[in-house]
Amino acid sequence: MRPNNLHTLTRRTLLRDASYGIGSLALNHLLANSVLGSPIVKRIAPKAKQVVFLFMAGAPSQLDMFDYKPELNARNGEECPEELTKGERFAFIKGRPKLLASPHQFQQVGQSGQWVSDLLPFYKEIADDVVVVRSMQTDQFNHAPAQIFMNTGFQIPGRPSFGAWMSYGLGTENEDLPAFVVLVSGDNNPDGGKACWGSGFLPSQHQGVEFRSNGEPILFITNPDGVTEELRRDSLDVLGDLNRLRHSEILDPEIEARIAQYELAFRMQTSVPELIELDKEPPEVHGLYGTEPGKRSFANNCLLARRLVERGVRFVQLYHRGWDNHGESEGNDLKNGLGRMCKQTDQPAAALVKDLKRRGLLDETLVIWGGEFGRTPMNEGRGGSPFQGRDHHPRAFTMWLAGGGIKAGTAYGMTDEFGYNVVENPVHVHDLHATILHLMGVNHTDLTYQFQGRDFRLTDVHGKVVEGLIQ
Amino acid sequence: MAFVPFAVSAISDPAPIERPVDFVDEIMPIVKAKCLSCHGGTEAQGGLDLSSPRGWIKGGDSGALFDPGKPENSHIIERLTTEDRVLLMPKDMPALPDEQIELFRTWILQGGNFNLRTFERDIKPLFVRRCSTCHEGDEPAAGLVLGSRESVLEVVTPGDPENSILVRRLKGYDGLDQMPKGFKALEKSEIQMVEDWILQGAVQGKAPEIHWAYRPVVKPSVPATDSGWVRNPIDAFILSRIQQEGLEPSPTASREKLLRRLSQDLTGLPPSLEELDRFLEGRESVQQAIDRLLASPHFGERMAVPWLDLARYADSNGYEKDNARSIWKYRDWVVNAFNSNMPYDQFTVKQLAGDLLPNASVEDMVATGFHRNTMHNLEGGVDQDEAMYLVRADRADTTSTVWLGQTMACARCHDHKYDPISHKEYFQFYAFFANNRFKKVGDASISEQKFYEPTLKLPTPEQEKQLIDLKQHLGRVEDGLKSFIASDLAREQAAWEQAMNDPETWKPAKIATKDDRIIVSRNQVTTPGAGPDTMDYALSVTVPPGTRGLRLRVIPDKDRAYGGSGRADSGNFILSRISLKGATARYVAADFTQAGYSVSGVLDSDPETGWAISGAVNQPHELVVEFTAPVSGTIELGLHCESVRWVRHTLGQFTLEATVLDGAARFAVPGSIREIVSQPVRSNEEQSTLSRYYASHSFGGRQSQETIADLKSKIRSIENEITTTLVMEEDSGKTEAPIRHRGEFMSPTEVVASGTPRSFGQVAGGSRLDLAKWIVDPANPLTARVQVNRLWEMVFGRGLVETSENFGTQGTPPTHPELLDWLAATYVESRWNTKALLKLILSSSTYQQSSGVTRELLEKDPENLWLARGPRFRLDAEFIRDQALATSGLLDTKAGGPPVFPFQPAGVWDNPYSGEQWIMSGGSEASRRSLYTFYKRTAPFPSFMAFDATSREQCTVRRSRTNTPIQALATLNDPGLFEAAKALGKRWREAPGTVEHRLTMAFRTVTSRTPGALEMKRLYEFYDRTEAKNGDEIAWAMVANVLLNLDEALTKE
Repeated sequence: MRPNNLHTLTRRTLLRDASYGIGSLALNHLLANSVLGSPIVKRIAPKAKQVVFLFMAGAPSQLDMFDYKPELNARNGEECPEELTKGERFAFIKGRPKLLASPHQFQQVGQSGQWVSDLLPFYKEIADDVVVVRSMQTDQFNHAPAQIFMNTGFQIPGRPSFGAWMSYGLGTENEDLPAFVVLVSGDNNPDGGKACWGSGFLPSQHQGVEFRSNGEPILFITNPDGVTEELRRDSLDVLGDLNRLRHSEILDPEIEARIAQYELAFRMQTSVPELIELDKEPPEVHGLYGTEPGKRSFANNCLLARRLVERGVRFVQLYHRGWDNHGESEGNDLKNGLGRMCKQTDQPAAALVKDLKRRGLLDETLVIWGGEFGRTPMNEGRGGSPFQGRDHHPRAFTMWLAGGGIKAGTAYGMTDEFGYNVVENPVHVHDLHATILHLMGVNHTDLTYQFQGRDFRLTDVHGKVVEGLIQ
Repeated sequence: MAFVPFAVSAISDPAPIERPVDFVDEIMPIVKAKCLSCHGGTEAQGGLDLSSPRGWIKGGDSGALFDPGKPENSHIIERLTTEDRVLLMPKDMPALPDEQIELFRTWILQGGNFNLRTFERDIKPLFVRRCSTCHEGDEPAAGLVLGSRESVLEVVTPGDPENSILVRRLKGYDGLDQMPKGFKALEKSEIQMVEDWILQGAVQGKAPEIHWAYRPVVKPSVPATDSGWVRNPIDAFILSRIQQEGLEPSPTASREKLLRRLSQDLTGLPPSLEELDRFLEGRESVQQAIDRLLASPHFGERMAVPWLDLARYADSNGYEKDNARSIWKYRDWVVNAFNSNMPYDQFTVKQLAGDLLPNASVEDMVATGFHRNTMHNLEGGVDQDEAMYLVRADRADTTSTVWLGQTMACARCHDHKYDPISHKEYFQFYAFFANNRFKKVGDASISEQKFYEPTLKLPTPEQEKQLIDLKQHLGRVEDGLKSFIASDLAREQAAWEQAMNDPETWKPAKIATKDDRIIVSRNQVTTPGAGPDTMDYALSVTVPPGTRGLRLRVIPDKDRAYGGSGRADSGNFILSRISLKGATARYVAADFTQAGYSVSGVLDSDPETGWAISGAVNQPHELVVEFTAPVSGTIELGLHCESVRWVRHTLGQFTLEATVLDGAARFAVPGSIREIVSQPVRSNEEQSTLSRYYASHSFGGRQSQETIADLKSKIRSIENEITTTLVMEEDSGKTEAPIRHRGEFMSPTEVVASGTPRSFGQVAGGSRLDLAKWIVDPANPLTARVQVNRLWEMVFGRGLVETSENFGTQGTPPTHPELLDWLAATYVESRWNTKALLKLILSSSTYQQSSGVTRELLEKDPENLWLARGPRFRLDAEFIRDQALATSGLLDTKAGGPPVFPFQPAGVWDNPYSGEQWIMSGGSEASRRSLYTFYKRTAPFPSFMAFDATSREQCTVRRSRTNTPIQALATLNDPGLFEAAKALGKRWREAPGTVEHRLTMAFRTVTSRTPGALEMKRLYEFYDRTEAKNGDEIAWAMVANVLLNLDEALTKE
């Protein structure tokens, strides 16, 4: 950037420098709304400043990873007790399903002694840094609505996503980067589509900005062919001057805001390429995460997430899709299919927690791991499939949280002997949202936005802060 | 507020008040006007919050506020009447008048009751809800009307609920039927309320004030003025308010900016240089320009953009699968409706209920696409009825938002907290939409059920004619076949059966070959071992005189793989091609074919098609070639086997035989048929199977059958090409629906019939059409207000009611209530003439003001509420791109048609469940107006999204209007927009004249005005330096890139 004050007009200099004319109050107002976007929200003391949400799209099987059920193993193949399934709706199971033992071995790990299956060798090393919530509940049992529900608090697409609310409520700590960044890996995009990170009715600057693994990292951040950085700088200078001349004529403060946005855009153009250069990381870090620079992988995204956290990005969300282990084929069963997903994600997820911890960032960064719902204790057996798989299950599933003020090294909530229903300390999706907002220093009932005549919240009309998860 | 000198009021004795004083009706209005600015909310002065009874009871920092029954001991009376100016309330204001203080005093004396029941507030609504079915109207039950306090007093003794007949009947005393007779009794709390009311004196109270938007529209008189600034009544309303605020109107905008503003407002495009010159030279007046632009075909395209937001129009289904849908005919209908200036009432009725209009036209059906724009969840495992419930709820909510400006959705779960819509009324409104036709299909056993609503086919006249012709032809051929079946079939079948069983029908052919790989024994050919991948058999086949067909019979061999007749590892073969010299094939048939390897493939030259027999390789099979004419002597037969996708699929062993009977292909029949034929005694069932089989394989009917198949396939392919659109249709059931407790699908309760919320007036009937007519009834207070406000908002960037989506009590009140009503009344009087209303607005001095702002204006009216200047705000997403295309000359102005695919970066579309891809449209189709861009809900066009377009997943009345770095990146770098910059640059690079002239013209093209000297200097410098460093082409492209990114370019000003 050229060291010319006229041309490096930033929000701060604008606010400081009254010579830019129009009441800086008006400008402050404009920028507050368009850049920082923070409403007046009463803050409570925050425990976390940033969030990394590792979204396991497709719904991982809690019963084969975290929620150990010896009784299920003992009664493998028996018909599921009727009192459990009576009146229940399933996505795919038909008739009277049979209980299904986990094909994986469990052991107790860490000082907390929580049960973990042998699918997660790396997770065992961070078991004492997390709180594992075995009593998650949701309202939805189809992927797209459930993913949208987990991300927006409502099952129909169109409401603001979690990250968008954070961006709106808390603003950004790094003006050169978006407040809400999305990283996608796995088979494909999540079922819920971009609605999972949309801004809904919030102003569009709050939508999640997708860092793409192919082509430009952020859409339109690359100069067109033939336009060098120098030429871009030159063109922004003349653009700024012409805009300022116009402003001197008609005084609309919106023009000043636009000049500032173009400068922000230019700074993004220069900061993002540096940010995504994973190969600059030392070999030891690549070893920790299992990264291979240049590849579309969950591991690379975890490392990138750490770099984003370091730079103050408020909300980083990773999507990794492929957990939908119905067992309708061998590649999608509890052994091979689930095994493959764990292999792709276990090491990098654990590495992220360890890496944040040793850099002193874990205390103020909340890491969340989980999918949109759980899976049934019963075998699905779609069309008589001989492979083991589980159907969608909204009544009980497992997520884990690390850092950011949670009660590390504990387990929260309990399910029944089969893992079908929650019997102790249920945590509904709305409660999770309320709790995370609380950890971020926001009372969930205060973060509202009026749209079409109604005040909306991430937690809709529900949600309670789960004190048991908080340090 | 005007300054009034302090005055200590003389204490006199106002007349004592004998009646009960009501807190809500009498105390709170005073408190609101005089006290709440300091004593309201949680940050209230002295810790005293007077905004709710809680604060009154709690008191302030100095203790209790009042002592019930004892005004003389009450702090509030003390502070309202003290002679100490410092302590006197309201602080620094004149004391309250004595009559008001007396109200406070009396209220406290009467006990300081917050819950005084009044007839108007508490009792009447209860009676309306529970009693009016019988006790209302011309023939009320027992002659008792419960609609007024006066008539209720017939059954009430004020102060004595015990002995009031009303209460006794409500409780079912005295051995009489409990009221309401035949219905559920009132809740205890409701009866208690009635008793309280009677005990407290059965007061009338004040009727709750009707919210402004629910009051009938009465056309207000236009403020009198002699100002020359006033061109039409709009100006009179605006000017009177401007003057009240102590402001002055701004001067008229420059003509160049005025034409630009008009063009952008009415067409979404900037004026061309020719249009600009004509206007500047005075060859066109403002009025003429308005008329020209209103008549432009681009008017409808511009107006459609916000309407399609309301209609949540998109080209894909939404949710997980998000497949493409075809409903662009609806989009075109909207464009055309605006262009033809369809009156808004018709526009409304057709979209909500076009299908229910008598003699509904095709266009009326297309219009019902409005509510078919709902999302459609086709994910596996979805509960169809629940999904339909969500769709219908969206229709109800959207209807209410779009036409009534009411947020009805709140009432889906509970009575609306602020607006007069109960939970029950929500489902009554919902019920209008609950009887649409839809069908469930799909396999329930694997949870792949889907649901579909009706689709309408829209053939072109040409397609229609083709179909008629083809169907007529088909009919003729089918008739011919029928008559053959009636007259000749039985005879032919008998002869066929006889021939099938006659061993003499087929005679061995004599085979010779020069190929030493092949072993020939009599009429059998054998090639031992596994085959090569490709093999040609060249055989000389000698046949009896008069031969009309040749039979190739493959012979299984248990020594080959799988006991097959072919040489592949699977025992299979592929006979790719049969060639004949000395005979011409007319037809081939086989007794058995492997799926995907149809026997007709042996006659074409494609090596991938041919005859194969996987599934039954260890059985003998036969293929018959039928000749066009009798043959004698030797035929050169070539059999070509080629394994395109597999290996070693060549023939192993087979025999060849000849027949002299015509129609030889009939003799290649499936084993099951051959078996029946060979039985001398057959069951009835077998006999009829045989007859059915032969009827479709007869020789005499074969030609007709082939023609029929061919015609049917042509008809199918035309039908597949016909454009379809999604429409609404009504089912045979009733418009009724269960109330769903808390809005949950799984908790249906009482079933209710369709109806409108009581506060908005009653609808005449129960159908969707009745609803639509009710909405556009001139007596409906909301419809016209809501629509004129949206038009105002489109032009001024902000509605007279800022919350254009919410006219309920939580919305913002209008800045100019009288103007709003005047516009609404004028609109209805003009028979909902949208173009006329827009013309009126655009002809006003108000609209034509300059949008430049002064420091004074910015300070006094930063948001331009009072319109003492013209509108200035950023263009909508679609028009930013349209402008770039128009100024660069790339714009293809073709109207309507299927959605197009302009440039979009790779990878934006990425759907887990569909192979659909964004394939960029060719040629100028990529440069059509933005509203024709394919709208995919889960992956909308990125640069539109950057500029606040919505995903169209739900109805949007008002887009946000942000100003972000992502927008800057899009307009600077989006390759689609940069193409436009290059084209604009090229246009002026290649134009004649000096560089200065051309830069000026480029600047004018984008901004419509001539640049000032400083602007020109700066632009020239940039051009000059860039040209020197990067060459002329880049320099012009970058000049254009800069111009298209000017704030002035992105803004309507």
